[in-house]
Amino acid sequence: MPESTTFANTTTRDEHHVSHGLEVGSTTSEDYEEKARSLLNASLVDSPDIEEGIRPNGQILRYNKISNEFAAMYPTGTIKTYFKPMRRCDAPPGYPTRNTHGAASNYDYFLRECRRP
Amino acid sequence: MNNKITCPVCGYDGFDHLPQQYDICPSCLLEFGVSDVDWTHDELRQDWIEHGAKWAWGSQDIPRPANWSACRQLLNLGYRVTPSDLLFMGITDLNADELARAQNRLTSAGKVCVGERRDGYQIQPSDVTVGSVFVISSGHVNARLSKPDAQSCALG
Repeated sequence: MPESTTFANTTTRDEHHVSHGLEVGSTTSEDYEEKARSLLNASLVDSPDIEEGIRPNGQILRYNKISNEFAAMYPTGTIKTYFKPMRRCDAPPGYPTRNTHGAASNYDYFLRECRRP
Repeated sequence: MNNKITCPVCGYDGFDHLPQQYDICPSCLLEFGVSDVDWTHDELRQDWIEHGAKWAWGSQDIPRPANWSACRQLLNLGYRVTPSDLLFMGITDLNADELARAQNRLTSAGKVCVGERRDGYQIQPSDVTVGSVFVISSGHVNARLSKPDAQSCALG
């Protein structure tokens, strides 16, 4: 299991923080990146709430079933995304559609992402 | 000639390469391969517009290009804003030419008003001026017009 490092660059990190920072409770993009790294580097033995999946394209996905955190990284360790999945039907008024999904549950969303090519 | 890639949701045309999964559009924050898995580009565009069509959804943390205009950018997709879009967006980022075109569209579309206040006043295209502010709340469009006699009101 590769160790996660950082987003590809600070621009990408900042864009993801702007889009998802509020939902994961991070106030700075550095804090956002650290939270993503923490999920991706957590020991699966010590953290039974975290599940890991490998997509057919090699990307590594992790999901914490209790905190509802989702993250993805390349096999090289480059962080690709980090957010809290939200079902559209559970989203509060005004919540952006772009950050919602149509899966039956947030866990189903994770399972679906693991299967996607 | 502009060889850059255009965002299919908002028309941002500053991508240097074909966006990969998890890349984010700095303008509308579309996350490729995430946001557009369950929702169409049309649905995502409408949601962005209904939230005001602001650069980075109003965040100051992503540098906004000089003279950026949502309406101008949407034209990259061939999308022309509708009168209701203007209500959602406000038109404070339109210059005089764009404003004139928008007002002409309001008229030429056969819509002599952009809405009706609860007191029956028909809002005219001429009421829509630079500086007009429109606020959406609780399912109503609340328009604060720049006319001297205008006041915050609910449409529809």
